[in-house]
Amino acid sequence: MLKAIIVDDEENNREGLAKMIDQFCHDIKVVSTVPSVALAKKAIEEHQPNIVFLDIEMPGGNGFSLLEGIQNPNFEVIFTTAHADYAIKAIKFAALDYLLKPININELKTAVEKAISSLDNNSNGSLLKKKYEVLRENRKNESFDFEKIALPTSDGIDFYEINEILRCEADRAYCKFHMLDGRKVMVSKPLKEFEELLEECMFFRVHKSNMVNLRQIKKYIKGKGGYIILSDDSHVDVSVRRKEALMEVLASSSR
Amino acid sequence: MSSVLIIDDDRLVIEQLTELISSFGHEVAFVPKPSFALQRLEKDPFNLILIDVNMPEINGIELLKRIKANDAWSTIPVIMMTGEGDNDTLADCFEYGANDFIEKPINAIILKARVNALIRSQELINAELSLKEQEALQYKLRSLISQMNPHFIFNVLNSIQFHVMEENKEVAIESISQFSKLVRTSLNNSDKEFISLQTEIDFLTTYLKLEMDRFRGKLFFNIEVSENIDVEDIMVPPMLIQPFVENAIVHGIGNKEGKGNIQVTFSRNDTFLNCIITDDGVGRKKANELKQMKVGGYESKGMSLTEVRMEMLNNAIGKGFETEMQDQVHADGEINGTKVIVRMPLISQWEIL
Repeated sequence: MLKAIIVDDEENNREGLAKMIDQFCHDIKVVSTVPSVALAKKAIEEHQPNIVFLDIEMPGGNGFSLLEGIQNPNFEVIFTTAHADYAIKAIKFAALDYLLKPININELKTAVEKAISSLDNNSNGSLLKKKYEVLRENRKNESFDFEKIALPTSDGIDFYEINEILRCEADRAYCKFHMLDGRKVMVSKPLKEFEELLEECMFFRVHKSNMVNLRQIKKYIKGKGGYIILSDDSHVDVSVRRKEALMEVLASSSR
Repeated sequence: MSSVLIIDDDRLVIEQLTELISSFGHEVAFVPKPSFALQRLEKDPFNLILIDVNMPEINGIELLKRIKANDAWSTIPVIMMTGEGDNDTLADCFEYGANDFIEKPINAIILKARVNALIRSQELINAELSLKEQEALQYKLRSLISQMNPHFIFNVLNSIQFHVMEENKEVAIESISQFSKLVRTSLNNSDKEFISLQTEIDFLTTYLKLEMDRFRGKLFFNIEVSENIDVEDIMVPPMLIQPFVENAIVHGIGNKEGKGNIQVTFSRNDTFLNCIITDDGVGRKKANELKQMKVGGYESKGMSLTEVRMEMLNNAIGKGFETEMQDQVHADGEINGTKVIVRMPLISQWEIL
């Protein structure tokens, strides 16, 4: 039986989730529920849990800060949040998992199954450590400045600097990342997911099938939609509907 | 092309001006009697008016006052045609809102310069104004979205309460999470001009699931999207369809005894996206009769808001939004449902059509 702890400042949330886990997730057992990051640290040392359900917005310490104080993490974390756009982005950048409150039973079951299979495949905790590192490095003080991204591939998770990415190309339900050094990474999520994440990191979707790193654009060639030439001399079409917005972004970013 | 109205009682001046101003590339209309001038202005829009100061009946300055006092015309620039060196009249002209003047006899080069300068500056002002109007329209549109029917909200909460009383925990939790999904989507979408059709269909599905739970085995639904629609590419205004579906449920199925079906179908051609909402309920006539019998019931704002939204969308992005209602008639002539067709312009996010 795997051990879980719940960290949430609201008592109703803690007890409600504990009851749901008790009834619907038979592979794990809640061994402790705590209301703050400080108490969570103690509970983790004491119980050595396999899974931590972690609320993000708590008085007296943001949930993210819990992970930063732990040297060798050997537990999976599942964040729980009601409505925190930016925090969810940070979680996605690190390829971590989260649940929206109020919690849906099916989503809870899926998240627990995922956490368990990830624990099975990664007994030494190195992948977990890397994910938490991404989260830590992207978080500067209390705000975020995204520099690193975790990309889920068919055989694991790859970690990259966002600046290393030249462009992302849609490939049905997958996405092909073209790196500056010529490497190509096939990622098992659709382009749309990364569009939402990378749009504020100087990336721009120029076409249904391509999102490019704005810093790597060498030249724009006029046409109906036209096309752009990237730093590796590759050509990428611009869709008619995106042309005007691209011009605006380029003008404002060159200022 | 800009249109210019000349008001002068002198036939020869009218002929001369008409020929000159046409040669500058503008359309010209004229009124030989000042008493007809206001009627003429009501008939067509003009970009510039030329008024002779010295006219019998109503003099030019009196006419200028009346034009500038009317809200619909006060922004049209006016050039007054005065006699040579008539400084007192000139001062009056500007006091009552004239934008410029020209002395008779008219010099063609000066006329051209003044006419074109005024038309150009008016065009700039109009462009600025219409931009401001567009922006105001956008804000108004947004505020109309996502005013979820309070009746619906409380009905959902009631049915959740029922599941709790029955100790049917899983169903209660499922309803709560569907409801929060609906609220979340509606919050996320309300500030957007357009969302993908997929997002709209997800929203409709969540909504219909909650209604299905309320109607407990009485309501069935099916959403169908024709194969030639790329749901991630096609864009629609957020939450436009839901009020039609709600209307079909409340008036069509709600009033019916026994089971009811709601069918929502999306199809397209080269220029339009059609959404057809069909119910096998009691029909419009019967629903109206029943509504009149029920005094003081809650009147859904959804439909009237939607009508306003459709009209504003047509104003904002050109025509294309239309609705049509039809009775569904059974083979024996009896009405057995309603069909609503919502037609929208086909908008592709990536312009790949």
